[in-house]
Amino acid sequence: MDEKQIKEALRIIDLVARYLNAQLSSDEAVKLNEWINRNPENRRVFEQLINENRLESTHAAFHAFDTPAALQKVKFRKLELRAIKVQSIWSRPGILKYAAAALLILSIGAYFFINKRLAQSQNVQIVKNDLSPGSNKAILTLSNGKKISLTDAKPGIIASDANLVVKKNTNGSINYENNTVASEYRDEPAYQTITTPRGGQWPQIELPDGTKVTLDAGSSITYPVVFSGSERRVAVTGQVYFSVKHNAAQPFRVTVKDQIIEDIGTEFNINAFDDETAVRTTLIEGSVSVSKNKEHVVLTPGQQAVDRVGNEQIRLKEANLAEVIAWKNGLFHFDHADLKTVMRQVSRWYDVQVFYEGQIPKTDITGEVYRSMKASQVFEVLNNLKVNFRIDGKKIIVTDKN
Amino acid sequence: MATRLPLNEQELSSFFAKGDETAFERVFSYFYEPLCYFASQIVKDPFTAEDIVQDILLKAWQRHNNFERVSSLRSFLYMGVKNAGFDYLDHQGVKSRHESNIAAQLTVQESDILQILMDTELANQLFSLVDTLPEQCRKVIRMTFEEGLKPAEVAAKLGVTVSTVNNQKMRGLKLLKDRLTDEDLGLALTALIFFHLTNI
Repeated sequence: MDEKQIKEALRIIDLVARYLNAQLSSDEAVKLNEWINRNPENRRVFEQLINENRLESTHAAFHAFDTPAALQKVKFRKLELRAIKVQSIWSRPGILKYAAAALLILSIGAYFFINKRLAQSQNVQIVKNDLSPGSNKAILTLSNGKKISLTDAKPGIIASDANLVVKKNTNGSINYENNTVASEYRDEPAYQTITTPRGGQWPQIELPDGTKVTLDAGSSITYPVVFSGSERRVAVTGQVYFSVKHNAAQPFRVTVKDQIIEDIGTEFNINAFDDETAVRTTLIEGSVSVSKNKEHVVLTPGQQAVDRVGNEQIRLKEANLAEVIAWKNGLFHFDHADLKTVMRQVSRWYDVQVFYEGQIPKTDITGEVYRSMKASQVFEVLNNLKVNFRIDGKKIIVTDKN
Repeated sequence: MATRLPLNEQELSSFFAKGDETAFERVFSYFYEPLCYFASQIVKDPFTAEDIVQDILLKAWQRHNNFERVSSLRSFLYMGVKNAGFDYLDHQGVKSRHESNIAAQLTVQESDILQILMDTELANQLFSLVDTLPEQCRKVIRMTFEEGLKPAEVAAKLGVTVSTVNNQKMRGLKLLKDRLTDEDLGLALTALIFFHLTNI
């Protein structure tokens, strides 16, 4: 049995499925008939295929296999594959060794966990309800103050505002189109805001100028429905990833806290969560400048502008890009992170409050974990740390094992 | 939650283009059970079957940009499972010959495999939509139509009342009908509905 035979068999199956669904076109009917009548063996195969009992017993046999468990297992194997890939990206040999080792340890810990299936968990105690990961949740506030849930909105046109309509596509992305029906003219600029709650995110929004943004949990973006005048000005909170459509005549400017970030056609990430220690702007591609009072820095790709709370100066450093954009790829990524850094991300994504009992354990965490896992599973991956995590409703209590 | 939603080319373009995570999960969820069934028919061992299928799906993920369409991915998967299955049998055969000096018995004929492959993929296409229903609904629908249980028997098995079973059955059928008319889900209509919808 070679590849050609398999392809042919699958082609016939597509026709048979359409036949059973009464969806066969006349062209397809001719093809299927031609195949059935080609020889008695084909006719026998066809008759067996459409036998109801046979079909149902085949389908019933599928349920012997547990897809979610297998998917989890494969994800951890992907984690290992990733660890090997990361080695080639990271240039600093010192970190490389530790990172690879730590990832391996995480993976082994994860494997161990899979085998145990959380049965006798060492460091995670669930008092009340495990915590599900965040999901796609956001609210659109129109210029008249009306709020629309992007989560619940059905694909199609979900609102009209000024001379534009807001559209939700079947994959969940949001974009704007000219409103050809009612073009109401207004003098004052109309602003809209998209907000994600803690435990939410919104993967893709295309602003009226074609700029694409991704919102992390507990974030927002406010922008004019019509970008008129000499600049395109938006304001953000939380963490937002930008892919700006370049227009030299109308530069794109982002206000975040007391900074202004100006883009020159580019991809960049802004992390300005209130509970983080600094506002970090990282340039992935193109060029941006970051200004605050009299401070002004220009970034080249791979650089990060760090504006620490209480510091006048904006510092420039080389960024770990994998770490910066991990959230956008559905990952937690830690590079020598302490426990508080880890828990801040956990708290936003699982929408929980974190409490420390006694001393805050000193840890150095490096590795990647999927954001699609339940909170207990993330902690289980941190198995080798001497830390206990207790999940109690919307609270996580962290205790040092030492 | 992993559900076997029917795959569509457009949604999967991100898998082919850049190995997108969510798209990989969709591919995995759609093919995992049928491929395991197919593999287990060759190797006659569910654990080996699962290993084989996980390997081949990971391979597909690593080589995501080799595929342009669902159909090329699909034949890669079935082909890969079949080859790995026979490699495994060969290896077992060598081992048993080595150990007992008796020629290994071939348990599957190549020609049978093609029929099993067709059965598997047909059941996968026809039933994938049922698997997208909410859990309770799905259980009721399955027990009613696949296992042929009476409402009272379903109720006893699930520990709910007969009226709950009837409600869930109606809800499930309505959901299926809605999805079909709304979205013209192509290959997704289930044989189950085809066979049963008319006599309810």
